[in-house]
Amino acid sequence: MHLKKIRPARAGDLAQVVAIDAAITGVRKARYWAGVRRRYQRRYGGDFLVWEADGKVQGYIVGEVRDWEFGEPPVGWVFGIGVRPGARLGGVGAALLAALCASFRKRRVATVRTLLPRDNALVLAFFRSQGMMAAPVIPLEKALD
Amino acid sequence: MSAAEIAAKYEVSSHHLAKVLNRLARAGLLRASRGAGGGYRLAGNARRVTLMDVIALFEDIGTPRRRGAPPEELALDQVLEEIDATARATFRSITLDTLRKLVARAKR
Repeated sequence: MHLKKIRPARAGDLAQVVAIDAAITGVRKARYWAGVRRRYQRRYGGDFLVWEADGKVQGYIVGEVRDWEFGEPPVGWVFGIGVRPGARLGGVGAALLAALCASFRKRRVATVRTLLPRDNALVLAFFRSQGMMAAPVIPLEKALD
Repeated sequence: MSAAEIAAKYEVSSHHLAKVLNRLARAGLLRASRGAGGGYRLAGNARRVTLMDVIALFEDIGTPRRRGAPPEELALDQVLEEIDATARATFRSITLDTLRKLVARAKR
């Protein structure tokens, strides 16, 4: 791949983001991703970045700084990350995470967190390979019946 | 490293270690070579082999379901299964390469 860069997502990128997410999850969510892009705009404190190579989006990452959640000072959150299956193992995910963390550092945030399903071993392994370990929070749930 | 070197470094029984290394080699995670300079080396891809791949060769992490057990034991099993599920997810998500990075970080 040549001419690589990480940049903020544009409206025109959404179709490719939707396709990457669909390749991963099996579900196309065009309206959902349009909403994500609106919510995670920079002016609202969010980051929606894409890795572009040769004019094509190969991956994306979405995050924001959350203030005083769980009684803690502002923490950077990775809302989601996705890399086109054919573009994996090339450092795209690592570069996207590094770019998001750099954005968090500029906003004087000292910690980055994320939340994902226990059985998503692949993405869990990715985040752990980037130095992340279990956070001091426990998600709880119950069925509403 | 040879089995003797590993046993000495970690102060474990060389007899027990031999069984462990044997099982790891049969599972394809280690490659053994004989002779001078021989020993064991990692055979798998360190970025793919997880701690669970290793642990699963020796033990089962899980709380067996006990049918007909009293409610108090079933409730305790539920709590223990929550801990086991987290443990399994953790071990499945840490590759040997990630563990190597953790070791390097601990040395700093």
